[in-house]
Amino acid sequence: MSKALAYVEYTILALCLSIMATITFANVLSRFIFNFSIAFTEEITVNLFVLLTFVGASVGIYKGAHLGFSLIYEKLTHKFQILSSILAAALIVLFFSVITYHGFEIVQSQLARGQTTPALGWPRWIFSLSVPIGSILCIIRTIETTVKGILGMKNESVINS
Amino acid sequence: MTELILFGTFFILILFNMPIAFALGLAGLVVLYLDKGVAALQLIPSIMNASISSFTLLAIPFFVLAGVIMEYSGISKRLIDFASVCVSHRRNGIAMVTIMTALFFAAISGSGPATVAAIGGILIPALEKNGYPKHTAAALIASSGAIGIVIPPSIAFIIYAVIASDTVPITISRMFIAGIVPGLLMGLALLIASFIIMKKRLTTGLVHVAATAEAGVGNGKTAKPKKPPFKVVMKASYEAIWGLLIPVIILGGIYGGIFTPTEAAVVAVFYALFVGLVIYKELKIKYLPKILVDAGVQTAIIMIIVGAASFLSYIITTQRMAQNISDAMLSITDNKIIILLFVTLILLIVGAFIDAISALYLFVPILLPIMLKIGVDPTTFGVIMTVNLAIGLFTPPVGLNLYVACGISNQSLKQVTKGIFPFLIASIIVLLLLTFIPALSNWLPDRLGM
Repeated sequence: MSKALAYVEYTILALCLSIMATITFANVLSRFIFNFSIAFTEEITVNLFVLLTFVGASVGIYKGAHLGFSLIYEKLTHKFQILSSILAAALIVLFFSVITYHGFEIVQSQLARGQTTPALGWPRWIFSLSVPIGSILCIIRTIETTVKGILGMKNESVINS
Repeated sequence: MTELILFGTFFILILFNMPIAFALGLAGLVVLYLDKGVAALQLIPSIMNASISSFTLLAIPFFVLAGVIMEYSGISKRLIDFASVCVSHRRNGIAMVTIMTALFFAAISGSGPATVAAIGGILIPALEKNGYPKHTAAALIASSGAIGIVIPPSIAFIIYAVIASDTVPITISRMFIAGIVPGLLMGLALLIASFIIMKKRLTTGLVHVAATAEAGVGNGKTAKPKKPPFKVVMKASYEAIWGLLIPVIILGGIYGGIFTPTEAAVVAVFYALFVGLVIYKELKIKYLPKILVDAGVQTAIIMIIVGAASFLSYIITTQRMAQNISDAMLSITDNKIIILLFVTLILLIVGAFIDAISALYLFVPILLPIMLKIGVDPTTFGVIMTVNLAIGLFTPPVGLNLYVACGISNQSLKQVTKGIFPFLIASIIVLLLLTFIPALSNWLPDRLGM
């Protein structure tokens, strides 16, 4: 399960970044060579950027890649370390739950009103989905990492892409 | 009061090992809730979404991606070779090679730790062979890697320009150009520091890197190292020229008005791909998925901080927090020099505990108005702040560059810390020069009409 999820996350990351780079580069080329701007594609790029951020944040959680300050934590006794990591995890889950809840609210209202994006005229809710979905991934990964940390298990979902 | 809750929540959460990004978000959430009630929380996803989906900030993933591609293309090795055929036969040549390579790499990468990782693997052992104690070698690499965020392209300058442009008109391009002279000064200061501390133990010409070794130059056998033969210099230059062209493309393109910084970054991505795949042939297509995921995660770690910090700075602005703090500060003193020294001190301490991007989001909205009131130029302030945070990158206890340097050289933080002080002092001297001589940061961009 964890590995399958990691595979999905990695695929999203790689696709997002390569599409973003290709579209932006194509825009530069088309402006120079064909004197024709495809600036409307910016809408796709910046929205993929949001998806990339939230999915990448989730990968960052289980890779322990987010920047933090661990000096005091390391000095705590094992019991307090467990306590403090449960507390921290609970707060992180709370944070992402708020984002998920209100994120889906936004999706719903856009769906109900049939809003479309300004440049491409695509349904807006599709783009708005990336925030709540990415947040759910972050919640899953936070719980997973904390439980594994407490049980002293190695994180097997860190696979090489 | 709100200020206290905000910063208090943030620092308590950080002390308990909560990642900085989430501590920022939670502190903002708490203040928003206390101030406007539960209904206001619905603003959070839209503010985060709006702050991340910015075309200007797209420069960040592309510069990060270009950096990761270059790591896999063997560019750093060739830059080191080039620097060593140029200067390694001189006294303390290895320190010159180190700083020259750090400057080159800083000019193609926008991040400090990435610069350390790219050059440390080869140069820390080389420094040791040349008589440097291990901890001094790692410390020199950690500190010269910090120049990565001062010399353009620089992620810190991108973020600074984005935040500051809410208050004053300032462009990324101007900040990029403004970073050149201060970056070179930092390099010079580190070089001088290494001359002073290594005065007695200096050996010359022991540099051992591929190109020079091939020609039998400076492998330690000769008492007096020779200048490498012309043929070797030419070969190393030709190999390195592809890497050295990257800053020319980026800065030339931005300065000439051909590209926006975002476009320059994406051009750098495809140029690096071309060099890695076609010219150096060290990059393989099969590495691409790993490169993309690596760069994606590195980007996300920066951007989730941007997202969380931006709704925090939304609160700072709507709460008139900046106004309150600046009034409080100016009521104590309006002496420019005292305020500047005080701000520098705060930023040095903060920089030692939290990362540059969070620090920019927390402190630029608050400090910039104060700086404008006491007549500090916003470009100069951006440079001062970035150099401050660059120093934070190699200040114990939590400088990121130190961690990377420890990892590469297999030493504990304590050991590397022993070597760091001379370089810390040298950099702080540069910081003070920059603080009190604004021309050092403004002259070049003004001259170029940026």
